[in-house]
Amino acid sequence: VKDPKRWLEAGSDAPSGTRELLRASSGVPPLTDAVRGRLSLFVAKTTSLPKVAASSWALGAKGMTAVGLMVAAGYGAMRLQAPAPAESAPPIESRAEARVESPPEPLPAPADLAPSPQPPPTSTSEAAPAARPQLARVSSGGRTERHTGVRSGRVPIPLNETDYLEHARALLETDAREALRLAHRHHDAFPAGRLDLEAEIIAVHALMRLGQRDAARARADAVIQKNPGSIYAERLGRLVDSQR
Amino acid sequence: MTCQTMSTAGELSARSAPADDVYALTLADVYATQTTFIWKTLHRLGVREPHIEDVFQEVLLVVFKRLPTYNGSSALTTWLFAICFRVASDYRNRAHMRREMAVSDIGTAAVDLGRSPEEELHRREAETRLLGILDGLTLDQRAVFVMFEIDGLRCEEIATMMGVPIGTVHSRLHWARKSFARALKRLHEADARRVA
Repeated sequence: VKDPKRWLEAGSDAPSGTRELLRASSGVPPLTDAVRGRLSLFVAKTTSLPKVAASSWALGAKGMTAVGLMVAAGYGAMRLQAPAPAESAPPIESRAEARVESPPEPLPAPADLAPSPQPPPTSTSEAAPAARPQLARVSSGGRTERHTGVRSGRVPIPLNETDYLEHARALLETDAREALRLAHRHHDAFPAGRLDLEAEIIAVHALMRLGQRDAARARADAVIQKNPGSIYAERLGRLVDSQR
Repeated sequence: MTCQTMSTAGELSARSAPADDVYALTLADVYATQTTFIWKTLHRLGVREPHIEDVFQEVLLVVFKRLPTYNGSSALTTWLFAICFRVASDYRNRAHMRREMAVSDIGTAAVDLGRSPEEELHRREAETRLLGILDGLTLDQRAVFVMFEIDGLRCEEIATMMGVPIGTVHSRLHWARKSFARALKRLHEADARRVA
């Protein structure tokens, strides 16, 4: 089947004034680097969401039901097997200590965020929270909670890779040197991270801001050469070229 | 089980693979290869420039949720177009959008430095009229009309993208043209009344 003649073509049956209107269309707005950057960050954040966040309500309801059944079954079993009350659960303090003695696996943290090397603590229940601030901390209620790593004299830095890079990006405006340092540390902090290219862009940006244009160009060229088809290649090229 | 996978060149191809294949399509893959397509599609469906980024994110969220159900039985672009269509439809139905869409978009479009100020003003007025008429079409008709008359796509391409028979595209184009002509006629009549 042949396509009809377009209204913009000569000899078509376009109503009067139509061509003028159609030609006035400014077309698709440009997809700028800033928008691309925000969208890629959004993708990174979205993909790092726990799977339960993306599942349906039905799955959530099933999960809740399963948890409820397990709790009920556990309670029933405890009722059946419970020894004398005096020998039952230990006091809250000792339970809290028990939790601290086996802290959960630490999140990958920036290498320089860890405090200066110290001898391994002999009693983890006392020394662990102070020596490794990014590990689990026991609250008074016996619950564990994670918190950000803190280096003395510096602001807390997020342990999430996306937040870490957002923090570095925000610093570009005010403290390019610190932004560069964070970008350099990114790979050590997140060896399994997926935002290496983002870190490289921040590093190039920071070098430009610090006036080290040759270094920025060399770094950008290396990234472009290594990732020729990357969505960031064009962006990096333009970033460096804009200063040439 | 067939699932959509990525080749090293970034092209999409269907092959047999288990659901937990490490090469299975991910949101990042879709984003890396289809960003421009989604962006253009949202614009064609009437999402205004200041809102495209937000609506784009809504599309990405839906893609993320639905990706495990995508089995490669249709082209990825067709699947994405359907998602964009639903999200754009929601956008269009929102009350605040209905109010905002009545307002001219002057100021958001790029200025063409090759035109004189009068020519640019004239173009913007024409564009505002065009957008007003397009907003009066149904979303199906608008999509076909914009892709055919403004973007210059062939009906076959449009049919593939929308996942409909080519006859449906012709039919939608026909009715879109009729609606467009009627709306333009009304505008001309209103202009004539103002001048008189």
